Amino acid sequence: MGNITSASISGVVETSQSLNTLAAAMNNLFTQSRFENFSDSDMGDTAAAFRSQGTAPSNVVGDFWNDSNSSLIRSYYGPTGEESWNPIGGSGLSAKNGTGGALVQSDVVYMNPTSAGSNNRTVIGPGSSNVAGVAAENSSKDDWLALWVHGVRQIHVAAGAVRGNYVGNGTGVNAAVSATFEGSFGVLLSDESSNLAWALIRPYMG
Amino acid sequence: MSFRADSGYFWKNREVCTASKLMQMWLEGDIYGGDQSDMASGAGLAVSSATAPSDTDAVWVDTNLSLVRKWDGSAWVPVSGAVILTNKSGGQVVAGDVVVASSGSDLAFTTTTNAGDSKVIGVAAQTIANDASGIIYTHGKRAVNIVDSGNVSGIWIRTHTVAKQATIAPGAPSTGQFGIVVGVNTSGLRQCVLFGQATRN
Repeated sequence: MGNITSASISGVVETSQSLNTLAAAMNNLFTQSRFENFSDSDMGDTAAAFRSQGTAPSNVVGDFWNDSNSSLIRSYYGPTGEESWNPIGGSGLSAKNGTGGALVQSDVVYMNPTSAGSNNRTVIGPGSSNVAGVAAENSSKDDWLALWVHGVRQIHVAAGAVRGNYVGNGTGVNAAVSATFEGSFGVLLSDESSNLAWALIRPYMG
Repeated sequence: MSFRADSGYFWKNREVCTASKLMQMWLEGDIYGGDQSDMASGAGLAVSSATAPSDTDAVWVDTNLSLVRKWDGSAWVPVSGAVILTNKSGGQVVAGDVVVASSGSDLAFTTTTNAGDSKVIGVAAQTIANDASGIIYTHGKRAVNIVDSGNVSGIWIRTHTVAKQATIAPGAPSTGQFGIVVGVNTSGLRQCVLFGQATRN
């Protein structure tokens, strides 16, 4: 792993500089011996970088995506034909939108128990008791999308939902509210407003 | 875009790089493919430190709480295994204390005296004063405030009738079990694997 020896390079390389100026700045960094201990892997095609932005990066080889839209960190992988930006860690997963229509962020979605093969990560909704999670981003029909499956998230709920209740399977993309633990996939942490509420979501207790 | 480096005759695998060699590569065009965005703050770096980095585009490896965190516009939220909530218990909680979802305040936790409370969230990762926000561990191997003594490894835990404490719950799954003991007593706490969920019978 290479290091840049200065505690900060601010003032040396600025975002608004032209490439020519950047080249001069790089020369400045080199002549000041601010680079040391680099190997091929630090700058090669497999060197992982975090891309912080709200839309998917174009350069996917070995990179991570710090997704500011869904608040997930994602990496790009999958079998041929299923490549997608998958959330890292237990807070999310990747699935295919099999609802037949568009989804928007915060929609509650359900697993498709009858799909198989390349579609075995398809989600449908509503009408199933198999809650898969909550859409972490907008998606069109048949697109891959990230789902939230754990954590404090803003989800779509039925009107009138009250903080402190459990949330469970609903009749649409809005979660239903229940006073009973059985069949829930989370706990409401705020009252509903415009069909949105904060919830601690976690695996479905069928 | 990102910067790429060719392996030239003077640049061998695992060879230590010096400023003069990098200068030579730069001048000969062996470093290529990058643009300004690769060195802008939005390029995104992973920063390992005990305190939050100043660059909010960075991914923060929090060496103090053993969490990977990212900036969501207002706070450094854990990527997984923990959440940020406000303490509305009426008093301070410390690392290892067991907390449940609050029904009295938004985005908040409290403590409980209900045995096997199914609204359990996890355990405090740090000292959190009343009305302050802090990290609550929900998953993973974490230290838990357990009332029981002796060797209780391999036994499930759930909330206790004493606020902030967990207690063992042997036997078949019962409502509110949220972890299992895996370690010995350490500084009054016990290592447990938290499920991120509460069981039901």
